[in-house]
Amino acid sequence: MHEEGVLKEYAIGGAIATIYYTEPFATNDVDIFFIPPEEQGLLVLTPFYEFCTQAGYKTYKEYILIDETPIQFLPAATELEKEAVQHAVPVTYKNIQVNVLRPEYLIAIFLRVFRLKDQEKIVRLLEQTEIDKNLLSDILTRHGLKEKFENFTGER
Amino acid sequence: MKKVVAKNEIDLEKYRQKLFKTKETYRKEQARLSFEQKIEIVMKLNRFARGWRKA
Repeated sequence: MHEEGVLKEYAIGGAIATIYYTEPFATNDVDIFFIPPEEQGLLVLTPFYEFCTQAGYKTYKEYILIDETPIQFLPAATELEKEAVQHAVPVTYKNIQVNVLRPEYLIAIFLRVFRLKDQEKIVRLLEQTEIDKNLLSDILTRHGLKEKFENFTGER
Repeated sequence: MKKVVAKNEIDLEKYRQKLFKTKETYRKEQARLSFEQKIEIVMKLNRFARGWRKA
């Protein structure tokens, strides 16, 4: 999709991106963040949908099923998510280059969503990977998440 | 693995701490696997979980 220009700015987020930096753990789906292209002032939220169905992939609700793996394409809705996609790191997976969100942005995104499973991923990232503390602090400050982060890490 | 005997609760707690430390080391080692290896493990975990749910 990326090569054919269907999905230009994208990055893997969620659990799979977390797993890139931490020990592997079970997860059901793959989250791909993308910056939605604009057409006549409208944001196109599913630029890949037609491509996938024409390529023979099945769909289930908002998921696209590739083999048995459900993939959800999430339009980057906030400035934080857009910035995260733009600063993703290229990673090689089976000779294919994919973009993966940086751990500092993952922490910020998980902090914003903040379900229990997001909190768990924040802990994994903080414990198991090298975090650029200056970058994290900068992201959290600019996106109004610093206090929430301090409260969260202070409670632990 | 050696036979471990606990004489009292302190010994038991020491052994438990040792287990947690091993667990921590193992997790860190797993974190250093390649992305491909990790995804393989995730897929196996998912297959395992699906099989379990069906059982």
